[in-house]
Amino acid sequence: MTGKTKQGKKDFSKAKIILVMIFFGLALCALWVRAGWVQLHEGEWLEKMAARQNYASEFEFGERGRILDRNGAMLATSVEAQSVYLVPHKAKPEAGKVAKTLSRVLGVSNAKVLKRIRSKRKFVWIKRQITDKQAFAIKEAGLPGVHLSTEYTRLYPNGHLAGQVLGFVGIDGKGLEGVERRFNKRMTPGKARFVVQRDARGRRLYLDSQGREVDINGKDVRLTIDAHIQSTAEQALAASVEKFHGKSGIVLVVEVKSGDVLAMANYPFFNPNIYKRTKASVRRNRAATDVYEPGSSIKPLLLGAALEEGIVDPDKLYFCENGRWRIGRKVIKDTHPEAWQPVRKILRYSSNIGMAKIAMDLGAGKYHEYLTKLGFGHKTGLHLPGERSGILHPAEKWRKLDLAAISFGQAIGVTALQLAQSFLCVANDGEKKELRLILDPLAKPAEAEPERVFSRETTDTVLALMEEVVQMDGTGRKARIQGITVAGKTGTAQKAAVGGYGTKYLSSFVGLVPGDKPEYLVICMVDEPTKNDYGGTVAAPVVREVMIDALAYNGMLPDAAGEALAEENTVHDIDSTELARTLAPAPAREVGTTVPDIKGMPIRRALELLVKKGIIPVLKGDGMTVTGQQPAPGSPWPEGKKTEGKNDVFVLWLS
Amino acid sequence: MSLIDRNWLPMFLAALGVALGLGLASVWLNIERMDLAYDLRNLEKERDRKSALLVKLEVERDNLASPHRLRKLAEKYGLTVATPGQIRSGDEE
Repeated sequence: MTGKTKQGKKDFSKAKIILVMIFFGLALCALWVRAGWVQLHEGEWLEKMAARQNYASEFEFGERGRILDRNGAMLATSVEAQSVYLVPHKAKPEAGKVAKTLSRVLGVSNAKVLKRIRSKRKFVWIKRQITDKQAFAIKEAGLPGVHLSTEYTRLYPNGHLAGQVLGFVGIDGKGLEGVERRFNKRMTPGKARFVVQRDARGRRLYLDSQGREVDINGKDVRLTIDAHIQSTAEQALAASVEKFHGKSGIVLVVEVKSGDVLAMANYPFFNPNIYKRTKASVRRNRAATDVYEPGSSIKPLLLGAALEEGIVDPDKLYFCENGRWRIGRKVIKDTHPEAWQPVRKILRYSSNIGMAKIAMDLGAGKYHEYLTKLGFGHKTGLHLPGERSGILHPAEKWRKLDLAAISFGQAIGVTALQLAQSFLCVANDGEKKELRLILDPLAKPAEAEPERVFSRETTDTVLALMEEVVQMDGTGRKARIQGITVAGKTGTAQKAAVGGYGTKYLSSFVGLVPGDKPEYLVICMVDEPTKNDYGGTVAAPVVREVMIDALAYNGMLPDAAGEALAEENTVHDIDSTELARTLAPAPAREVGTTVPDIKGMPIRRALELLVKKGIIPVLKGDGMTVTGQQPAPGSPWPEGKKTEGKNDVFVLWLS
Repeated sequence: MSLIDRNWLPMFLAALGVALGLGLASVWLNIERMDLAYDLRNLEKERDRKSALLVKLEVERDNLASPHRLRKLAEKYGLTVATPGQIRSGDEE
């Protein structure tokens, strides 16, 4: 391995070369071994590590579905908003500056921010869903450890419009009340997970569309509510509640043809944008959750049942006890005391005594059956959160006084929605129709034929009698609309208090327009008005205003021609010969040997005829036309009893 | 010297050139791909930003055109809901 140089020195160059070769050989082998080790043994693990470094798993969150009105107007939507969070250990070195800036921009107290900076946690929220202006200021400040995260916040562009119906969502986007809660599952957005590549600076790159084609947005919900009519209802209600210093109020507007709820107004208003600042009592949808004794507004339903069962006809007379009737230890009173009244006037003047007697003729079992068929005692099909089923005790438990009380809307608890559903049946020719609040998703249509509660004749009669309440001198005169008929019924229900009924009232009005073939049903309830408590004064004008607005909005308000025609009809549509006959002096009538038929005669002529025979009849009922007589026509004249009195020798029923 | 022996060098050089060209093309494509990915990302960000702005503008529009606000404005300018008799139908003579 060694040689000698010319000078005789030993030559180690060959050995050196060999050593270097061995060294490099070993080094190369070591590298090969290491490469082999890395490739074969650690390869899988290293591959995973590299993937973690180069690829990142990313989630994309969709938007919560919107809530729209029947015309597509947006009632609730989600918008992007920034939330501020803190990584405490990174913010600690400049704690003072961070706290001061955050406090100034976000309006959070300095001490609170400092406390969070001192936290040992790795992540703390400072404030969620801040405004764009605040987010910009935070970004500009470039504070260490302070970051912004994008979230979706719920906005209600119309403020308090239908606030209680819409409900609200919590900070985490979960529906907590109203439609937001009922359709939370449908509207909740999904999330998609997909892998993205990261560059050296950590920026994300989308190299394919894997996982991104999935529709992750929540689905919209479309209501039957019409924003315009809802707004009208809310304004009219607010004006009345404030004017009469009431506690709260409800207005419901229903389209009869479809059963669609066009407006469901609650007062006091609730703005879901600021739900945290509102009391729970204001947030609730009173139309669904509050149970009231409806008072006289329920009377047309009893009348419908009695007409259907053939118990009464509109001209049947009832003795109304001159306005005071004792049942057991209780006394029922009428605000319009009368002796005898036909059924039509019992409704027109809202006689409690007359209604109680009709209910007694009908019987508790039958009345209960009709109330149940009309939907009382059960929830409506709207499935609104917190909806109540009202109070309707079994008929077996009704005492005589209970039956009397329920006849004029006491001792029974109903929600405004139940009341609307029952009158919707009357307006729909006696066939039951479900109320509808949701257009999309559309509920499955009922398979069974709609139940018929009243015959068409019965509902026509009930509507005609309800028209008298408004169009004649009834309690609902303030709901009249020129040029179009309105059917309605007032309610002034004394509210139950400890130990009986107190001095507070629920004023209500149920209105249907046009009266003979209703298109709209409007219900107004004002709770505890103080300046005046009559339903005809407090609630009827609200219903009128809403009706006019709804009719004008849908082009159904009588135009100038229609109104002129309506006015003409009052005088000119009477046949001229008939008019002449009516106005002509009465023909001299011979008083025969038997009692003549005086039914249909004006009272004045009937009295003239009877006075000729020296008879002063007992008059029952109120009106100008004779509708019944006793003795019957053809009977001999009662002799020797010429005075009015207890014997009732000659009785005339008037209407 | 055979024909193969004579053409060996040009063929080797040509193959080397092709390999180099393909390699460069691959690098260029990768760079383009990354550029495209960056652009795509930016466009997506821009789209998201504009979508968010659109929603905010829609909210603002709906807020400005809310029935409550329009009613207040109408009152301010003396406009009210038509009363019976004030409406004229289009088909009237």
